Amino acid sequence: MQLARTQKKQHKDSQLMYHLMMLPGMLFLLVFSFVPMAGIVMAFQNYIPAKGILGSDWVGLANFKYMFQIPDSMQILANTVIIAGWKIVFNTIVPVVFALLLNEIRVNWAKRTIQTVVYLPNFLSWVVLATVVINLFDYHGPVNTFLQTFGVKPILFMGSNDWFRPIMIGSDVWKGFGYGSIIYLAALTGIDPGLYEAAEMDGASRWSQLLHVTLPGMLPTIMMMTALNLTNILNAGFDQIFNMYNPIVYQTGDIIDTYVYRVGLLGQQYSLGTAIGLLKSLVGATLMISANEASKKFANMQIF
Amino acid sequence: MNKNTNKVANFFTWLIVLALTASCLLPLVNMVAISFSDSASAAANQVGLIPVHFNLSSYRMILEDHQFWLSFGISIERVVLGTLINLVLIVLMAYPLSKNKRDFHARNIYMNLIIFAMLFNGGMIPSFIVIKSLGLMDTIWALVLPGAVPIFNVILMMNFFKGLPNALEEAAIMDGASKMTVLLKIYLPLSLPGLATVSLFAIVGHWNDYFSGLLYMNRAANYPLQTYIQQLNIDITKVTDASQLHALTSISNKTLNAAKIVVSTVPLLLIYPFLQKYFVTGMTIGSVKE
Amino acid sequence: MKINAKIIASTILLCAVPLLLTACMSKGESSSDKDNVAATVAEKKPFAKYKNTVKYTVGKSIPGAPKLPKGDSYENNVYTRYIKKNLNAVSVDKFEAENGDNYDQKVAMAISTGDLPDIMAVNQSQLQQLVDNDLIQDLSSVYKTSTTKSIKKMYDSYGGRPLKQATFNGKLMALPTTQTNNLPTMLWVRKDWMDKLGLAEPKTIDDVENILEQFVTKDPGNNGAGKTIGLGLSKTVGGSYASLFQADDVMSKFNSFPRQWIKQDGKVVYGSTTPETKKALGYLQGWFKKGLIDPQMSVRDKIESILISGQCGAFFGPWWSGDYPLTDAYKNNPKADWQPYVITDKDGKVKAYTQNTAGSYFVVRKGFKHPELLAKIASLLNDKLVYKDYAYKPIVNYGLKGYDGGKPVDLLINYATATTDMHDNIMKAVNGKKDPKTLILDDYQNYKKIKAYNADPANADNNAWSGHITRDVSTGKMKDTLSKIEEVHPVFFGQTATMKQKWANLNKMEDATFLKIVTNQESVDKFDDFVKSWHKLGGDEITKEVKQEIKSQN
Repeated sequence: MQLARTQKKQHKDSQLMYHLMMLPGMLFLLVFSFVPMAGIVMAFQNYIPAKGILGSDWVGLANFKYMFQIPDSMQILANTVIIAGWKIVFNTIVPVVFALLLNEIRVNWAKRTIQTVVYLPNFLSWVVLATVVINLFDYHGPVNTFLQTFGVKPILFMGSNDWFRPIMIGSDVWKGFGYGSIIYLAALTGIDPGLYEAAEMDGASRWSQLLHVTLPGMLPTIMMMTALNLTNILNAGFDQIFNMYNPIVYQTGDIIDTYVYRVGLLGQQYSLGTAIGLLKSLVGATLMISANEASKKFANMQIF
Repeated sequence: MNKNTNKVANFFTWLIVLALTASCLLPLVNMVAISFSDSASAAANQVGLIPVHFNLSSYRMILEDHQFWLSFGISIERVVLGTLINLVLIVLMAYPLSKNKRDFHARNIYMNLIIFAMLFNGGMIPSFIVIKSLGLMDTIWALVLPGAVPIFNVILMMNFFKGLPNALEEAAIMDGASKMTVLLKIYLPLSLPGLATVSLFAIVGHWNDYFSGLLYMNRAANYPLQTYIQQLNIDITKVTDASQLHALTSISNKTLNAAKIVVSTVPLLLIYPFLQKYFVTGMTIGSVKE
Repeated sequence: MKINAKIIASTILLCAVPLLLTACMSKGESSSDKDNVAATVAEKKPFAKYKNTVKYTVGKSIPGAPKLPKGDSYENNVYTRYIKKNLNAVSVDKFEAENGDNYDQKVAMAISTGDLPDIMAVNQSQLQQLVDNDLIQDLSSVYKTSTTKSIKKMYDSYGGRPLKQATFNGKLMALPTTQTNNLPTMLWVRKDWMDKLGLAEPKTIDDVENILEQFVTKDPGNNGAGKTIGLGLSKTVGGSYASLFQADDVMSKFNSFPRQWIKQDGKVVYGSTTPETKKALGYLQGWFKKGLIDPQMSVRDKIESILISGQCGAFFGPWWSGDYPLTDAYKNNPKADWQPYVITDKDGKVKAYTQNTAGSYFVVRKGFKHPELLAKIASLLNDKLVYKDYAYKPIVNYGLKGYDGGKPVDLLINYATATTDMHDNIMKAVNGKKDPKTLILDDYQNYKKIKAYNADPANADNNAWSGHITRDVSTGKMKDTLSKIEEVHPVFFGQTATMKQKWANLNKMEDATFLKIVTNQESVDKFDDFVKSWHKLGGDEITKEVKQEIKSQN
């Protein structure tokens, strides 16, 4: 009885403690996230800086309609989803595989050096890397020179609607896989070594250890990252594409953000930008919540 | 037989890993080579992995560029201050959130609010108005406070905490420890790899962000380093008048810009090994248990 | 506890809206309003010094790479001290941002929060907004009282066009910067390659075609078979006034003026949609098919790099191409003898479209007590400093050391003929007909470069060469051509309501069509489809609006 009461009191105390722990962070979010969210109303206005949020005209859904009234809106949307979708897929698979490969390397100094090197490209901006990529695929660049030894005629990769998307996806994965693998390496350290010992006792090969110990151990992290990455399904990477595309590949490479940028060249369009941001958030939220529900249902794992 | 397949597997592992590593090294080597080259050769796109007409003039110019070092200092200040604030808030929030609804009744409400804050935003104008009306313009606080709660990192940390065994906490509570003590004395020491990861993300995030500097700093003297560097890219298609020539000729200096990029990347290279040891050596739960 | 959390949640959401709204409305009065007393009639004179120090705030555009002497700042440097000394006016920067997108954004933020600097530069659409919402002052009277005769003459040299752009309902709402005449652009070509192949100087586009053909087939630069590039050309093909790498000098021969609103046979048309432009694009496609244009033009990252490295033999560019990018080309290989040539019609004439003569617009915030200050600073910096105080030591030294970006109000006004005037002045000094000490600073430096070049052309460094090729040679050719230019004045530079909606899409079609036709990915006949879609997808509406705006302007 006595014990039950102390437990109850403890339970109540810890509730308060939890709230107190949440408080500072929530205050920051209140001021710097929730308050500015009032700006979302701009999505339903024709916002003019000189008139302010209160004085600008209400236009209902006109900003959203605008996006779908563009003659190429379906093409732009498709380009965005295809490029962003494949990026999400490979930006999950490649870092995971790389983390696993690196985990197999048992020479510690090599492991560390490699890790430091692969995370480098992440710190170079696309302005810089675009030049590197474009040079790589030049008529007289390494790729074409290599292909020529097999008798292939030089290909104008960056001006080809067949190649533009794969190059965008590939170079993005290349830039980010090292940095992306950090999270999985950290997850690997969390796996109980006892499990490996037990598996070895059972005579499991390295391959089956991988399948039955390592992967299940990483699965929560992988699921979480996938769910979070899904929110980017409408963000195909403005900086990258903007620095590498050209009018020839508009049909496969023009994405929402590059299009909105060009609309903005005629005078900043804050309302359109807000509307598209809102649309992206809604789609992202839907996908992320579905992912969470699906993982609860099928893997019995709650991500959030 | 088994040994042989292992050897083959090992060989391919090394091969793939080394090839990837090399591909990641080349662009930076290229940048370094450009930074040590003669500006005309760099502008001619003739510099590969070795400097052409080796010279140090770019680095000499950086040494004399006091705004560069001023901005460098501001970035360091921002990283230190910002990361500390981030870590405190991340840890404080991740712990209650790692509990289930039974242990912390309001958990899901908080979680939903946080996810909402992660997904939606009002854009830059309202954020600007908030910062301005709080009087934070041109202060270091405008760079660190708006991102004080990096939600992605909170979720990451929360999942690390979730993975820790419950038994330790229960035992401590039985001994009369408070929740705060549990967090500080049990959870933190056990989640060093997680802390290292979120620290790294926070540091990199602060170091690389240029946009808040652009938006919230009204004086160029208050720019952090990446904001300063971001300005150096000029779009020549917008130059229509000879009066803009001065700007054009000075900014198009590819070697100087490369040197600035190299110097600004060095701190990130230096910081990595310090954090790295926590996820390479594998600070495992088992080893701390004793 | 459960309730607790819900309360927190709802408080958060409830607080959000009012907090923001109050934040929006707090439009404080600028501090400078209180101290400043309106100017007397005497003080309104252009060069008159204020009795009491006038404080003013500015929105300052800065160069990307700061170039101030140690210890100086954008608020305290040789220019601000010069203004203080002459006018007794002191500036405080409300904000500083790099010229271009970053600056525009700061202006938009300032307008959004209603916290405007006393003086700032804005672009055309921002000017319209400020006028519509009554946030800036009418400058008509201070223009009369507080600018000098020379300043008025400078504006008049453009036939009144810049001021007209800044006039709304008969009121002058801004002082625009002026953009001088930079016509014609020229073909810059490797003279050493031409000499090697025994080719004569080009006069018409047929000559150009021949030279390019010889370049790519005979490889005078020893780049290796198939690696020499004839003409470097921008992805946009043409339509950017007096910029680098445009094909306008070719297209104008067909009376094609892409991306300009022009009057053709009395009707307002968009230049990119005319049959003339179709012909011009077809002609360029012919060049591309023969391999005379950079085969990788659609993906070329930096055209400068192929000029500097010696792979490419020619491009079209303005007179200053010798400063940028060719100074690097000369540095990389002093034997690369780049020379400019004016390409004319068969009858020796040059057709070219002109640009918007107003660049950016300087405005004065409503409520600021000294609207005349802007006009006074403009007069001080563009008249007194240039024509009387040109030998003022602190500023001379500042320039000599390569410092830049000090002017708190960077309102550049000069004569339409500024470029050729500059050529005349420098060359008079070079030929001993003018005292070099009377040259303005920039000209004096170039005078010295030309002297150095003339003393020993064979061993001149890249600085001396670029002074020579731009201030002597290319501007000289501009001057010789002045009488032969047939100017086509575009009739509209602004944007209409429908443009905001549909222009980006029309532009996309236009860019893709131009590039695909020139690079031979589509036949010239696809141009007709483009024109049809262009009219259907908003072009007709926009043309109507443009016509209306032109009517209302007159």
